[in-house]
Amino acid sequence: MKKTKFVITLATIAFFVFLAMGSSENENNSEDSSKTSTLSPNQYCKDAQGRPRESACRTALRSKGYNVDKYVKWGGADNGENAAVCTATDANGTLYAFEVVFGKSCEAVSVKIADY
Amino acid sequence: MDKAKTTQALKLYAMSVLSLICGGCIYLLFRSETLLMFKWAEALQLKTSILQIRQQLTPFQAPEIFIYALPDGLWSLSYILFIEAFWYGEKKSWIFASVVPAIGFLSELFQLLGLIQGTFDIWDAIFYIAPFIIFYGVKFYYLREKPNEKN
Repeated sequence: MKKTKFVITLATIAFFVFLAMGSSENENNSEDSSKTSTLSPNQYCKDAQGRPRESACRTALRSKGYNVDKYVKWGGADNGENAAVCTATDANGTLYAFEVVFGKSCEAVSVKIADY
Repeated sequence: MDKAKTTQALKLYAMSVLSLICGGCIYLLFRSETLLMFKWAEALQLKTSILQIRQQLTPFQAPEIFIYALPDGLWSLSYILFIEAFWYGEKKSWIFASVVPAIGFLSELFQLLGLIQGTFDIWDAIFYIAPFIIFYGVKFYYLREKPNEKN
């Protein structure tokens, strides 16, 4: 009886660790990573209208050491070949804009805080 | 287990599920759509409804701790309540209940030390461990006050 309860406890621990994985970033998508080999950053990191994808902005800023989890409501605009302006707000509603040049996997070649 | 104890255990199970649902709702309504949890919601055909609710909540600016740290605390609390219900009446239940909060707390500590990937946040660390300290602090204080009701 105790042994069964112990096994169920271990299963519960595994279940809660599995749930914690659900709160992690979905960045290791094999389908997405296969696209990086055939698409340019301009195609891969931006949508058809040239707006940067949220995941691309997050990847780029994170690659330069920004704590991207502190930002919400991502957006942005086209800013030329392989480049975009990523916008986001912090929890206080303050808007931030970053001029980003994307690398092949949407990591940042450069990030500059936009000064408008 | 007598009827009173079964009722108590069932209450703890219910609170555990409620705690988990509350934490999950905060993630789905306020956090980034790149979280794996959204893949799960998509698989359950819930993503459209969730996105509609997120739109409604757009003007609402929740505090940072509410969005980023409270779900960790609710996750930790949910586990503690489940274990406490499952091992109801066992004196050593706290040992099993400490495992998941300890994993959460240590993961933050290892992030601080650069041993694993991620961004250290002191509030995350506090929220992982606080439910355990508060729950067993209250429980052991209560048992000390009323030794006759000891399990």
